[in-house]
Amino acid sequence: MGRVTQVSDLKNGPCMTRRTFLAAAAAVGAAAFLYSNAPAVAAAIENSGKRVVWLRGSGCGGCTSSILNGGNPEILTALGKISLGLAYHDGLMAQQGVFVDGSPAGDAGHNSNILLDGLIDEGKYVLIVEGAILNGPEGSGRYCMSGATPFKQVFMNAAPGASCIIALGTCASYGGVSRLLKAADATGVSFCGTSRLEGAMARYGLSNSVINVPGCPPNPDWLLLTLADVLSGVDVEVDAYGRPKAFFGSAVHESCPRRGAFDRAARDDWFSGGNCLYNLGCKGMLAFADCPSRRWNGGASMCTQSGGPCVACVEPGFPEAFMPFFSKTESRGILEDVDVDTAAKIIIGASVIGAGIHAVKRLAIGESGREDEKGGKR
Amino acid sequence: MRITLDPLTRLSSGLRITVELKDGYVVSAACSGMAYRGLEQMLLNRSPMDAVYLTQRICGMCSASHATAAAGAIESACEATGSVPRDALIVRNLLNGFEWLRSHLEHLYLGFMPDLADPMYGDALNSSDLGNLLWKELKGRYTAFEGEACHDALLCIKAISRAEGILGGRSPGSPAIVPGGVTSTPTRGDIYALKECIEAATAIVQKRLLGALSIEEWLESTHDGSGDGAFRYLEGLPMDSLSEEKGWGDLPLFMMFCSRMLAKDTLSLPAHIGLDRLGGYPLDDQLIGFLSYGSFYQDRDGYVPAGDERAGSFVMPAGFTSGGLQLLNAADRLDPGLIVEHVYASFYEYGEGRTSEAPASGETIPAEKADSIGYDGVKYSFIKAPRYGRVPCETGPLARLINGRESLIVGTMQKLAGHRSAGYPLASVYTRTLARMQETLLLCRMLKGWIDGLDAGGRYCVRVTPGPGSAGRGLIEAPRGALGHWLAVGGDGKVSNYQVVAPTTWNASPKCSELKSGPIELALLGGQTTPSGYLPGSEANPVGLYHIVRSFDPCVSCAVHAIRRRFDG
Repeated sequence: MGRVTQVSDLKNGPCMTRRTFLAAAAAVGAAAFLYSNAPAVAAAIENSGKRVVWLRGSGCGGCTSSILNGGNPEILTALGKISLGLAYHDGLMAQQGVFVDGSPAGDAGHNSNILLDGLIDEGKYVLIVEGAILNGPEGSGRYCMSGATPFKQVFMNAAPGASCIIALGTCASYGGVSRLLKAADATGVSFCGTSRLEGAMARYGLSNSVINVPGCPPNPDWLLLTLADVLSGVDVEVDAYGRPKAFFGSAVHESCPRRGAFDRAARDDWFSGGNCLYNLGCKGMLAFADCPSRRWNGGASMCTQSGGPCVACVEPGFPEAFMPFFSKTESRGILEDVDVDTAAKIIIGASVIGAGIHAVKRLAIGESGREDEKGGKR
Repeated sequence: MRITLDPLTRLSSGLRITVELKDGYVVSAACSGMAYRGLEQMLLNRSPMDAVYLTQRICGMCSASHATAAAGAIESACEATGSVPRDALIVRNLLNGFEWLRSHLEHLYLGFMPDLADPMYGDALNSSDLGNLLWKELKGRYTAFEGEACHDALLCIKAISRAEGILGGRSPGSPAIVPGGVTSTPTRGDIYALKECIEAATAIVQKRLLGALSIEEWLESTHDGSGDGAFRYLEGLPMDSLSEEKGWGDLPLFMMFCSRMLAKDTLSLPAHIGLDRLGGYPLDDQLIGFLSYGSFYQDRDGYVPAGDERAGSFVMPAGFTSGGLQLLNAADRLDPGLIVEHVYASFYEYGEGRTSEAPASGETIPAEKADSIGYDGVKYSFIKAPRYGRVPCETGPLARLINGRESLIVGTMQKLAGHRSAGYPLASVYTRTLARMQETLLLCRMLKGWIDGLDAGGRYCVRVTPGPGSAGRGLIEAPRGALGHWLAVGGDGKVSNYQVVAPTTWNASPKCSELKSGPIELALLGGQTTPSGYLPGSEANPVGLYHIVRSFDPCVSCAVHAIRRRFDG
């Protein structure tokens, strides 16, 4: 029960023990950590003295849903405590935007627009962005408005004062689903797909540090642990796409619960067969996330475990690069949108894993070839 | 005086409401969706199968509903609806049921109820001891993010989400629902764990909504019986304490004290909030209707898709009831052929100057000039205006319980009708919220039934392949109401048309080409800034208007989609 001491340590000086705390998180590498250490994470968040401003652009609200899913009331309570009359989240806060005869009415206690302006003036908040930033039509950003202002402008107002920005979800990280609608001219906060130059930060000439926590939706642990880190001032080590390495370091395929079936070449060609989902379009080899060890919804399960092919929802190319979702990776030119680093990771991964190498080699060299085995029976 | 709510929060982002106030009453109202997402456009020329996963990204609150509607559209295009295995349908029922339960809890406790803890009510209720007792409960339970009920709701969502995870891998965005059935094959251990989750969630719902009674006791006297049971029960509760333990769960508390008809007119209590006078419609059959597509599959192999025998195929029936609310007759049969969409007041155009289109046909051109997107002109929303025949329709829990002639709602409406001289509308913020609470309890009962009927083994998916030139539609109910997906597959086997008409497209629709307002707009007309009328200064914090709009649980993410079939550049 050494962790109990950690809680009180955290209360006295969160920064000092953050290393230990995070090291433990990484070592356990499972949702179990967050659940058994919720009070410690909560304390880290609560004691940081920082505020969280959470803006939502063009998206589906699924990121917020997923975080509520995480449902660690201690952590949400901690977030709530920081939010006392301060933080901003349009799905959860008491306030709303009110204009009377065109002018903002009331005060920050009731009016969300006045509240947001005040927060921006004070600065030094952690800014969480959910949803993509739309520039269309004609660069106006009017395909996504809030408080009589294009969301693009709301973001541009809020970004400079942020001590750190977390792009939550694949839309905010890379543009995500919104990027499929060309007319929307959607971009993520610091990336558009794999391009930093086309990301909102570069386009608008902003320079804050941004951490990407992608996923469609993101796992709540990813956000809460990253947030705990950021709030207590620890540098978060990120990969080439701005994602914390701690969570997005290895391919889903490497420790997929159905890996045994892959190695035995027991592959299903229709759903609910219980075997490897490769022939059904699983993109687990191209998706870098710790889903298999962390699992989802309180450690209950994950996509491939429940028989759903991985759609690589954490990758910059999602969803376009991984569609059709149910077509085999190698039967389409999937490497077009995946950079060499990523491809290399797959190959390195594959060389260790032996049995998988055949398919992966074909994938890497783009050989379309005949099917080497008929999908698993049943 | 002109009040604009922008953004209206505690719902999915992007809703703007503008009302004109004259002598304290709303005389005109405009409801705007401020985002264009166009998921349907993204599906064009892609594999039809991709629709199940891509359309889930329309909404993070009801992704399983979209997956179910998309799977339904594909299955109907393949003429395979009759062969989806029973076990798959039960798993879909469970996944959808979990989603409804959490969506209702999120709406009630994170969205709607916090307005009852607005400090305005502290002042309004402090003239009597009972009022002070009531305010203490409202503040302690419903304060945004801090209230006890909010905390309980989060605990309950956690239990539900675990169940969603066990069955669907994760949520939202679970990959489990696919054309032909589901991907998951729950083991006996999974089923046992699911039972535990359902019990845990149900226990919290029981404690929150009912306090003292069990869910079965409540449903037996209010749902299975005549509907009078609820009133007798409320009258028997003590007035010296309004705690849950004494029986004042959130439902009895709401049912009693948020009704002026019950608390003031009937029982002469010194404290009430008149939500039964807010958010109603003028009584006119042509002005408004209540629409449901039917939801939850029967316990057997296969299902009958929307159309002829639809009514018999679902646990909660499809149907239409017109605004006069003649509840003694059964609901009208659903005729999907009557559904049309208008773009008169929406930032879209139809080809060749047409003003309305059936969802299965038509090309919609979104506004492509920045200047054409403003909120004060003839066009003021990214939401289209669907109509049933010519009638705008409310959809959601209230419409479902009206079309199912549910006892508690019918009984409450009859009681309200008995006081018609006092001007109580039958559909209002009060009955809308009551319906959502009652449905939450019904869901707990249904979830238990489904999980008890699920066994390990069984068949979970059949093979389906949408052929070139086929077309289909999937009509189901999402937590917020009627959800339809229309699919057409071109000669090349790719999607040639896809249309989504979501519940909020109905509820938050702007004016149609006949200049008829949508349901939220209609419900706002005649509304006031607080339930006790216009109070000086209340325009800066018009709680009455918040109640009206939030009672619909609008979800703009779902509502703002359109397809442009031909892309010329």
